[in-house]
Amino acid sequence: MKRIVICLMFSLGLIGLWIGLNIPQTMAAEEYPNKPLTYTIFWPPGGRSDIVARMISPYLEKYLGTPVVVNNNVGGAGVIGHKVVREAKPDGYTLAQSGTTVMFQYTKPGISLWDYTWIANIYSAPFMIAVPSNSPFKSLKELVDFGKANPKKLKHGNSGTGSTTHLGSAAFGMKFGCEFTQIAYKGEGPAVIGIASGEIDLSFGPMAAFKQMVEAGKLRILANCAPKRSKQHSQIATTRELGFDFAWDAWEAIFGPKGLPENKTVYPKLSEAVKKAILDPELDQKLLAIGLDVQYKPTDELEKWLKEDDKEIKKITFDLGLQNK
Amino acid sequence: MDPLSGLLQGFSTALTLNNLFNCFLGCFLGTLTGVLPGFGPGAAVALLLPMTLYLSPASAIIMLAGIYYGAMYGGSTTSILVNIPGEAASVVTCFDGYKMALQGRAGPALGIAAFGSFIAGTISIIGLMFVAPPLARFALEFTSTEYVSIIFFGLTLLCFLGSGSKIKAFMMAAVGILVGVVGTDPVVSKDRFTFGFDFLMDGVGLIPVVMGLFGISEVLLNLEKQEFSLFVGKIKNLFPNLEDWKASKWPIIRGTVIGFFYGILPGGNAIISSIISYGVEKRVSKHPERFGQGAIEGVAGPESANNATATSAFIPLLTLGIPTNAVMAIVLAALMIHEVVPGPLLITKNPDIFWGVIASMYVGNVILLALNLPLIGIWVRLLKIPYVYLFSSILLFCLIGAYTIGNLVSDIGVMIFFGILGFLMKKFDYEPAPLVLAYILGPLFEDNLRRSLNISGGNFTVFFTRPISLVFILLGFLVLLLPFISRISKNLLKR
Repeated sequence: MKRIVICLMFSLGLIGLWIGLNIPQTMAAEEYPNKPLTYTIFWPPGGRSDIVARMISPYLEKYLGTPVVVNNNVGGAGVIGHKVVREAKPDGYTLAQSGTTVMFQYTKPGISLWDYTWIANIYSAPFMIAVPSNSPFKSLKELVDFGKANPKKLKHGNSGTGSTTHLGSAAFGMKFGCEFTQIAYKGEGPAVIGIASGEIDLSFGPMAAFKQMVEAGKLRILANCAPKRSKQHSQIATTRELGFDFAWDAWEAIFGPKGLPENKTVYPKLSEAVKKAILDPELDQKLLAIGLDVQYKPTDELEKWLKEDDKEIKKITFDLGLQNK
Repeated sequence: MDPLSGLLQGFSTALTLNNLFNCFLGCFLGTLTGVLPGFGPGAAVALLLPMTLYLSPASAIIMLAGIYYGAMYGGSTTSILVNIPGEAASVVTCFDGYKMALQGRAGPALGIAAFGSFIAGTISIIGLMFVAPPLARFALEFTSTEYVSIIFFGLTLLCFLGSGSKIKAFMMAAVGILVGVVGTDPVVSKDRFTFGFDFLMDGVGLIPVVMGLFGISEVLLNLEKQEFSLFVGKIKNLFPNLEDWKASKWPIIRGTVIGFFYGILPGGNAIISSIISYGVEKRVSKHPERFGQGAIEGVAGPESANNATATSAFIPLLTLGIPTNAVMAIVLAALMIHEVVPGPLLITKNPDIFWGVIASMYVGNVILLALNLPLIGIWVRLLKIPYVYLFSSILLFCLIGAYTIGNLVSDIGVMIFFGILGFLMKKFDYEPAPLVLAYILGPLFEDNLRRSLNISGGNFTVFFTRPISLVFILLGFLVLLLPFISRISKNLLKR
C-alpha cells in the first residue's frame, strides 16, 4: 500500500513539475483584459480549425497580454458551442473561431449568422478542383463538357451533405450546366481518401486537404476557384482564366457575442489586438505552411461580405432542398 | 536512405537525454491513462497538445506516440483485475482476463498481456520500417465497397463473442445497431432519434457507452456483494509458465497480423482489431468452450492486436498524412503546429522526425516492458484493497474521464444511462459485447454501404466483382457456414 502511495505521489509530482516548467508566466493587468480569455472552437483537437486556433492563440496572448485558453466545445455538430457563445456576456472574454459552419444556418436549427459580432476574418483557402491522377479529364473544360453531355454521370465527393464542399460544387454545377451526383463522406479526410482511391470522379476542396495526395501522385488539380493565382501554387490556373467565372473558398473568422462594439472600453482594444495578431508575419508563415493564406478583414468589411455570401448560400441551400423544415 | 542507416540516424535522435525523457514521460503517462478506467489516450493526448508547442516536433511526436502505445499496455490491467476496461480497446480482455484473475492467475494474465504487447509492438515497428510506404499505398486501393465486405466479415465474427445464449446475443446486436443510428443521417443530413437534444446530433459517444456498459455496471454490480475485497485466495505465480507460452504463441502472432492490418486502414482502430482477434481465436481454437472461462489465448490475442494497431496506425499518418483515428489526428496537429506537414515527402524532408519516431518506438517498448513487469506485483495486490475504496475511486475516475472527452456534461449522463442499462443486462444474463461491436460496426457499415451503392447506382454486384471485396465476403460466409459443414461431414463419416 505504501509503495503505491509513493508511486502515485511520484507521478503526480512529475506531472506537476513538467506543467510548471512549461506554462508561460503572465502578469495580470488592472483593466481589460485582467483574466484569461476563452477561445472556443467547435471541432475536436486535431482538425484544421483546432490547428489554426492553437497557432493564433499565442499571438492573441502576445497582443492582448492575457492568457488565451483554447476550448474545444464539440457537441452537436457545433450547435451546442454556438449557443454557448451566443449566450455569453459581450465582455470580451469569450471569443470563438468558426467559418463556413455558421453559414449552414439554413440546415441546422437554432443558429443564425446575425446573433454574433464578427470581429475579423483570419484566412481564406480557395477551393481547388481535384481529379484522380488516372482520370481521363486533362482539363476543366473536358470535365465540364462531359458533365454537360452526361448529367449526373460525374460523381463528386463532398465532406458531408450540406457542407461547404457540397454547396460549392453544386453552385459550380448549376452555373455551368453540369449536374454532379453527390457522394457524402464523413468529413474532409475520408472524402480525400475517397478521391485518392478513385471511387469518385472529382472533388472540390482547399489545397490543404489535397496537398499530400498530390505529392503522392494520386491526385491532379485542374483549377483554382479564386480570382487570382495563389502564391504557393502559381502553376495552377484559376477558373476565370479557363473561362469559368467562379470563386469559392473556405474561411474562418474570429467572432464573439452580439453587442461587442457597443462595449467602448473593450472593443477597440480587442479588435486592435486581433488585427495585430492576424497580421503578425510569423503567423502568416505558419498558416502558409499548412496551406492557408492570411486574409484580414475588419468587422465592417467582414459583415458586408457575409451579407452578400449569405444570399448566395441561402439560394443554393433552398435550390438543393436542404433547408431545415 | 535505406532503413538501417535511417534507423541509426533515428537512434541518434531518440537516444538524446531530452528525447529519452520525453519517451519515458509519454510511456509513463500512457500507462497511467491506460490503467485509469475512463481516461483514454485520446483525452490524454488532447490535454497535452498545448504543451507540445514548447517541444521540438520530433520530441512532441515521440511523447504523444508513447502515450498512445503506452495506453495499450496499461489498458489491460483493470480489465484483468476488476473486469473494467482501462480504455476502450481492452474491452475484450475482460472476458478471459478477469476469469483468470478469479482463478488466482492475474499474474500470468498481466504478464502475457505485457509480453504480447511487447512482441506485437516490436514486430509492427519492423513492419513500419520496411514496408510502410508501399503498404500505405495499398490501403488507398480500398474503396467503400471493400470496407463493406471487411465490415461484413467483422460482423460474422459477432456470433463468437458471446458465451451464452445466441438469441440474446443477436438481440443485443440489434440494440447496438439501434444505438448506432442515433445522430445525423450520413446521406440526407437529417437528425435521427435525437428527440430534440443537441448533444445527440453527433451520435452517442463511443467511450461513454463502453465505460457505462463495462465500467459503471460493474461498480453497481459489486455494490450488492458482501465480501470485503475482490480476491481473498492465494495468488499463484506472477509470470506465465511454459504451458501458457505454448498456448499464447500463435494467438500473439495472429493478433499482431490482424492488428497491423487494421491499423493501416483508414477508419480502423484498436477496438475493432482486438474484438476481431478475439473472435478469430475463439473460431480457430480446438476448445472454444474454454473462452470466457479464463483462456489465456483470449488475453494474448487481443492485447497483441491492439498494440500492433497502435503502431501501424503511424504508417498512413507518416507516409500519406492520413490520420486513421482521433488520436492520430492530434499527433498530426502537433506536427502541423510546428509547420511540419507529414506526407510522402516526410522521409526525405524530415528524416530526423520519421526515423526518430521509429527508433523511439523501439526504446519505448523496452521502457514499457521494464515499467510494466515490476508493476504486476503491485497491481495484483490492488485486489486486496477493500471494495469501498477501490470502487468508489474507479467510479470517480470514470466520471472525470467521461467529462474530459469533450468537456460535455451530457457525456456523463450517457455513461450513467448505459451503466444502469449494463447493470440490468448483467442481471438478466445479456452480454454487452455484441452490443458494443454492433454499435461500432453498424454505422460504419451503413455509411460505406450507402456510399458504395450510391456510387454504383444501386448495383449490388460490385461486392462480388471486385477481388478484395469478394475475398472478404467469402471469408465471412466461410465463418458462418463452417460449423454446419463440419457437423454434416462428421455425420457422413459416422455412417
